[in-house]
Amino acid sequence: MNDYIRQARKCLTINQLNGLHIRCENVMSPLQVLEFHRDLTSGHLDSALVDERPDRPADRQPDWRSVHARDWITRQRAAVEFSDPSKVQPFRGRHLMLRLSHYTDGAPAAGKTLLIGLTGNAQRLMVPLPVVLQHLDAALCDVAIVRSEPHTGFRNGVPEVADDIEGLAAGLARLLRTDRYARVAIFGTSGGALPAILLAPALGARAVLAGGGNNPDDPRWAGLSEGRGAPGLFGRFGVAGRRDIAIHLAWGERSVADREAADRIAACVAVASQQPVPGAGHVFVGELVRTRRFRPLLLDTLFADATGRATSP
Amino acid sequence: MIDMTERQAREVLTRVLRDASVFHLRDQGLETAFIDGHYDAGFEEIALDSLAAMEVCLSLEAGWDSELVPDDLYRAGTIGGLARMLVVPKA
Repeated sequence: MNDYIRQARKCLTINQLNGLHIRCENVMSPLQVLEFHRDLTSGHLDSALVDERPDRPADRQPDWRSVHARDWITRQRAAVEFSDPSKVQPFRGRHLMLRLSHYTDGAPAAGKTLLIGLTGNAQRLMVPLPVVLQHLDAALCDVAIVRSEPHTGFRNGVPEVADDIEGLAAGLARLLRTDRYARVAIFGTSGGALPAILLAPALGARAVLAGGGNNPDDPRWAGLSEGRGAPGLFGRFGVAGRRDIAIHLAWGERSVADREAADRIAACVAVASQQPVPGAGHVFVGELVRTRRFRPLLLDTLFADATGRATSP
Repeated sequence: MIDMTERQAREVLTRVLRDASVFHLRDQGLETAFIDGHYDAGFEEIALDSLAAMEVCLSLEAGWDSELVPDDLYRAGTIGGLARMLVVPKA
C-alpha cells in the first residue's frame, strides 16, 4: 500500500492514475484487493492522496485521487466477489523478475498443478489478475504470470529469463522449479496464445488453453518457421503430432482474424477442443466471466485430468 | 493538444486502437475507410471495453497532449466523433 500511495501521489492526471490502477490490476491477488479496499475506503489515507498543487486544474477537487481510487477499488472488489462470493482464494504473490510473478497459497507444490499464464500486449489474461485467480482453486494450483514485452509475442524471450523464445521454457522451468509440481498447464491469451502452444512440449505441459492467438502464418513468426509457415513453426517446437498435450483453442466469435488463426492452428496440430465464445470480440475472457462460463472452461480444458472431469484429446 | 487535421487524428486513432488491442478496424479491413472518413462506428461495435478506453486515453495524453478521459470517449459516441474531439479542443 505504501508503494501505491507513493506512485499515486506522482499522478497528475486522471489518465496517469488510471494507468497506475491498470498496472495494479495486472499483478494483484484477490486478497490484496480486499486489503486495498479496506485501506482506501476507510478514509485514513485521504490526506496522503490529496492534490496540493497550486496549479491544479480548476475543475479538479483536491481529493480527486482518493475519489477515483475508491471508485476503482470498489469495482475491483465487486469483480472479485462476482467471480466467487463464497470465499476469497488465498493466493499470495511474489515477483520473481520484472515480468514474472508467482502466486501460491503457501502449501507445498507436490500434488498441485502449476498454471503458467502468458499474457499479450495488455500484460494480463484479458481480465484483471484478481478475477483470473478468483476463478481458480488455490489448493489445487499455483499460478505463474509471464508478461510479454509489448508487440513481441515472446519472440525475444523475457528480460532476465531468456533472450529468445527457444530459451524461455528452460528459463521458466528453472525459475519456477516446475519439477516440484505434479503437472503443468499453460493459459495464453492474445500475443501469449501461440507461445503457449509452442512452449508446451519443452515445459512438459499436459494441457494448453490458447485464446485469441496470432495466426501461425503471420509474417512476424516467419523467422522462426524458416519460411515454411505454420507447419515449420510447429515442427521446430516439437508440437506437431503431439497427442499427449491437450491443446484447446478459444476465441471470440466476432473476431474473424482470431477464428482464422484458430482454424490454421487446428489444421497443423492435434487439437482437443475448439471453443468459440458467442457475443465476444478479441477480448473474449470478459464475456466468459460475465456469463459465468470462465470457471467451467478452465476446469474442462486446463484441469480435466487433474480433477477427473471428462475431456480427452 | 497538438494541432492536427481530422485525417491525422483518424490516423493516430487507428494506431492507438491497435496498440490497445482493439482490432475491429484492422480485422474488418476498415482502417483505410476510417482514415478516409468513409466509415464510423460506436464503441460497442468496435468492442472498446473500459480497459481499452483507459489505454486509448493514456496513449493520447502521452503522445499527443490530449486531456481526454474515458468519460469523454463515451460522450464522443463514435470513433469518428472521437477523432473530431482530438481536432477541436475541449471547451
